[in-house]
Amino acid sequence: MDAIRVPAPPKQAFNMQRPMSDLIKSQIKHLKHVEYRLPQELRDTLPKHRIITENDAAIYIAAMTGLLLNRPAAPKVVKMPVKKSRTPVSTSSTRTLSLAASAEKKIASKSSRARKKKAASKKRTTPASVKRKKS
Amino acid sequence: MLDRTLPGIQNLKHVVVLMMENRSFDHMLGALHTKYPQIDGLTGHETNLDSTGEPITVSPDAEYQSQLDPDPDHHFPAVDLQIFGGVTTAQNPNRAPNMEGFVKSYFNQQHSVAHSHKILSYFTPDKLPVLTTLATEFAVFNRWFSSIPGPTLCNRAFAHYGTSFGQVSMDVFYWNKQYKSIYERLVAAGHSTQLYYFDQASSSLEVINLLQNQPSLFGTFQDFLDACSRNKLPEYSFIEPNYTDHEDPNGGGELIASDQHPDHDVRAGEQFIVKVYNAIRNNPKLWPNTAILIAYDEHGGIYDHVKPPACTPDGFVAQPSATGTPDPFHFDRLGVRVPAVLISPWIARGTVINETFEHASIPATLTEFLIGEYSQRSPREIAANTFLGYINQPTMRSNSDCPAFKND
Repeated sequence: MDAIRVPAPPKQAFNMQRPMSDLIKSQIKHLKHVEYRLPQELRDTLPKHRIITENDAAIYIAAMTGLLLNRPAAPKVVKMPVKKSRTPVSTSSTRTLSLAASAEKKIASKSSRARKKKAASKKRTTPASVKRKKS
Repeated sequence: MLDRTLPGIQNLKHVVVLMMENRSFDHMLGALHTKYPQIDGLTGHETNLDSTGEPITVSPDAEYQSQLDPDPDHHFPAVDLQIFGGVTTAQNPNRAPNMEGFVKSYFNQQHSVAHSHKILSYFTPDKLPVLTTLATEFAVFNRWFSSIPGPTLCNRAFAHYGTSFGQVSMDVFYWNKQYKSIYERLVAAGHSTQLYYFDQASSSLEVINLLQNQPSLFGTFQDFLDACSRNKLPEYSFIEPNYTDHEDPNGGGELIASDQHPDHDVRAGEQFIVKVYNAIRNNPKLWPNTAILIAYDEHGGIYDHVKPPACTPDGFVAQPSATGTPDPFHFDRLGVRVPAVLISPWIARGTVINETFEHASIPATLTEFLIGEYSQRSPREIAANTFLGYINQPTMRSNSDCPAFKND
């Protein structure tokens, strides 16, 4: 069976200035809901631009997603007194899922933190196979 | 009960689900009915009355982009109108779906009679070579419905949890309620699983629970491709397409949305499906033992002619304040039908599946296949049909017998 050729969208199909759809507005709303539970020092690292277009949304979403992937502890922790020690605070909340709890234990080790940082850096790399060169 | 003696099931090691956005079955696959009468698509004579009372016929003139702008309303009240044809006040409890309110619903957004007719447009197969080829070369579902007559997030929740926890809207703020996600169940049972979003700038729609609390479950689409090439694919993968046109934050150029959500170009979604398919199809160590399901989360307000059936109630009730209609919703009726295609070299060409499925079938299938008996599931998931039994051929199809695609 010969390979079927699949047409690409034309260049003009790309419009990062397109206003956000309701779907992306909801995604932003959910991320904001999560953001407001984060410590101020983490929130301070987030971009503060107005979010109108798809690209505006993408910039904020990328920052929030990176923050969620790399933060040292689950958001429940922020309800507890903040320690000056750099050791992540563990939570005894019964609502915390066991999986999250085990992840925290791993993060508590310094070497594991380094591995995670490296992995996160890798995740930020753009998928090479899906890039379209700028015209 | 899954027949584990089937050769395709004995070989099966991986299940990959790709969930696209907001297109109805008839819009994408309805035209296949002409050549394949067993596919429950369009005769070309289906109509809706427009706001002037004129009957408007479905039209094979769907465009890749710019036709469905503004985004057709698919929140609960609008879908109620689309399904029931306009009875939204003082409702008759015996009212029945008639699928006659799509044009009226789209008219409500711009009050343009001419523009409202576009909601009846559908693609001819030549315009969607990937989805239509996969549907006819492997298995297409005639009766895969969205789980709720409503928008994206509550429907996607059914794919993750087998329920939306009583939500019919985008305000899905649940966490660690009585039903675990399929991913948490699999991890607890010692299985491997991953949700792959496109990249960090597109991210996941499953923010409140999984991304916030279980970030280790997530990877990028590049991670998926790498896992395929290194033969490290998890037992269960769920893939989310790119939801936005955006600049690569790392300077890699323009990244076009591939979710097919109006008004994104449908061709980008076709090419994205090819990337997923080729990553499996072109790896001889994965192709014989991987099943791929492509499904759309909901119909996006676009016309479909099949009336959504009643279903097992979910044990939740959404009050009128949540539904935006005069009546509460008991989660006892499915949403509008969506495209769904099951791919494996152990499936016979031209398989058409007539049993009823919905997104709760996804966790139901993975639970049956990988976990077995598991009682802590929603009534909807427990009642949902599972789909791996269609991987049922005695011998595997040869490479030359399965379609190949090449993105331009």
